[in-house]
Amino acid sequence: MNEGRILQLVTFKLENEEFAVDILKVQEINKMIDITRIPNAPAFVEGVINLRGKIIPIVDLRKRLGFEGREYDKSTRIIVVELDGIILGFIVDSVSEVLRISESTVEPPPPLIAGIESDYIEGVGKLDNRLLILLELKKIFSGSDRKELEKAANNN
Amino acid sequence: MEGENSEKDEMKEIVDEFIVEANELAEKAIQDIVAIENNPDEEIINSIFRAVHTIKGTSSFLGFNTLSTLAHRSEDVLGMIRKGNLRPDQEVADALLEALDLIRTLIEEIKDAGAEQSDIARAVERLEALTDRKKLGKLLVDASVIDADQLHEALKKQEGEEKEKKLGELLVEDEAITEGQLKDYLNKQKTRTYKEESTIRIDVKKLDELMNLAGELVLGKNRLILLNNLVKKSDTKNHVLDNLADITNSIEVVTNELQLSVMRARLVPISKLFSKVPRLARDLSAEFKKEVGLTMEGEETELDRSLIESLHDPLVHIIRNSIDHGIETPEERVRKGKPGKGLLSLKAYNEGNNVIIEVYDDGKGIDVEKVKNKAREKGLMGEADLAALSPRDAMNLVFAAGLSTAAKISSVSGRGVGMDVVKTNVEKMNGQVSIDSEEGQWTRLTLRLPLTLAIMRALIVRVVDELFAIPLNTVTELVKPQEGSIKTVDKKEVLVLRDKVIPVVDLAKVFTGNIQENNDRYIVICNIGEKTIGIKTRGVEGQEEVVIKTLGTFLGNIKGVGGATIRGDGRVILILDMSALVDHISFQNAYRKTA
Repeated sequence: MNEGRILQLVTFKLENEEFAVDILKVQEINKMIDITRIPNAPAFVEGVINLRGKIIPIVDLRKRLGFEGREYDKSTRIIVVELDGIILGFIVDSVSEVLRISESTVEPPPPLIAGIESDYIEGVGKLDNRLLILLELKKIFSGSDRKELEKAANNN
Repeated sequence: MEGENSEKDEMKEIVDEFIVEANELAEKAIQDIVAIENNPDEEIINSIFRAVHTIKGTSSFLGFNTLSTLAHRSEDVLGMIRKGNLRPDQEVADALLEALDLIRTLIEEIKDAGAEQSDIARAVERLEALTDRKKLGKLLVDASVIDADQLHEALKKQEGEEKEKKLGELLVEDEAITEGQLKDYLNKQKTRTYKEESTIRIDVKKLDELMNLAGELVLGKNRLILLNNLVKKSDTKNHVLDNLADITNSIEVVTNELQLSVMRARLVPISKLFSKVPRLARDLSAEFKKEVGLTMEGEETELDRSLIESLHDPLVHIIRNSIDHGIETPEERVRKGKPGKGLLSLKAYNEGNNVIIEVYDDGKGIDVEKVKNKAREKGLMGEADLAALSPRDAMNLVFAAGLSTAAKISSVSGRGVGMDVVKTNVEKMNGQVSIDSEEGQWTRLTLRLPLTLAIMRALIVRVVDELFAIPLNTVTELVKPQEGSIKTVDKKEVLVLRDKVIPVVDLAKVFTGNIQENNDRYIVICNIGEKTIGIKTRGVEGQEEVVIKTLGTFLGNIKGVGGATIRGDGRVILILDMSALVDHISFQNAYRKTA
């Protein structure tokens, strides 16, 4: 009987979808604070914040994944993650809970879910009658982003 | 007779008292020495030092010279231990114990026979072997200035009748060494001990950490000041708030001092960089068959160690340029009536919070027309703009990208790296570079660098509804433009200020592309290298000290933004990259011309 590894995930909501990221990547979860906008930055980069003396970039995950923009409200959260030594935060509609699920319940992503490129998805976790989309953060915040950032830096 | 007797009695009383006291002190000191051998505790060392010092003082006062000498030498050794110049290892402890045992013997002798009898020569020699006194001799012997016999002679004399004299003096008297030599070697002795005492090696990472923490403290201090100002405004008078004001003041002073000290700890003399120049100049002169005399000034000028590293390549490039393109061949120089040997001179000095480095050569200078031609060829600037350039501005075109060093009147081209690389590198360090020259006579490159990369003063301005920080070292003045003083020339806005025409940058336009309604009230005039620009702002918040933080690799490449800082209230504001803004204007111009 091999149930596989147990995954610990932080789950959050965007629009009506439920997403999840590996808890080990998450440094902290903050309420919305003042964001300093950065001129010439790519559209999905909201700006930067002061995280206890460190300046970290903030990405609007809605915009990054192609959802409609939305007003921030009381439940809006910033999830701060560390990816390959880079600390950044992304904005989500709300944070739901910390879940433990068995790796065996995670299936590879179907070609297209919720209009998100499957490249960004590590897999889909099934949980009773809920579907969790496990995000591949590294892919979301690298590669094409870097190019776009460079484009932004050069298009003047 | 009775008087004499009572005087004798009194003397005896004092001596008896001394014997008791000295015995106690020596006893205690012996125990303590055994203790410090295992555990060099400062308090114990001090206690031994005081004990021996007391014995020395009293015995000398009572005329027991042998005892006094022995105590004196012991005191010397203890003094070195106390200052941390000597480790109380077994050898040291043995010598001290021998001396103190002997001190006790001498005291016993005084008690029993009223006079000292033991020979202290061996103990003194052993103690001296541990102190600097011997080291001067050893230094001289090692350097073969004197031989061992001469030293021995002098030391013997010193132990004998010439106790008051120093070893050096005795050697001079013996004509073993000259006064000059004595001075030299005493200095050598001093510098060595001085260095041992005053420097330690520290991992740069630790210094950086300290710097970061000091930076955070500066931000905290700024918040405190902000809070204090708020309180002052609120007009409530009470005792507690007065205290707050006092504390704020003292924290401000201390924080500033701390920040300065930490910053200074990171500074290294520029000689680290300059020391490589003679060799470089020599090799390059040989390579290009030039004769070059080198002078350097201000090698003791200090700047941040990270700057020294980043300065290396630009400096090498500049010097290469000077020798390759600047200084002529000896024959050519003689033909021109100059001395055959060219002059390359480096100078470093402080100016306010900046360090200036000048590289001067008395070569052929810059041919302004040639530079202009090249710029025309490469389409860097339009005809009208070129014509309008002052000679100095035209010279500084050598820093423009695309105008290679080969354009600089030269037969030998560089290695494909242009002066624009120098400029980029220097600007990365928040510095500026400019060139000045007289054709046929000389060229001078001036690098202007901040003392440190981490902290700077900035002017906080409001553009549209965001705050930005402008590096204060670029700001020359603040202008409230009169009606009509902003004109449009060739679709570009310019400010006419005291007969000078200054291009004006609208940050809102640069950053967002939107043209805002015109309610900008101030124009900040900035000098960047040889260029002057004005920046439109809605308001000016004031001057502030800011700690420069990068936006990180994720966002580090945003044009026009040099970094960010955290303000007193915890908000992040962006620091403008002034040279990028200047480039932006130039680029716009070039673009319009070619379009």
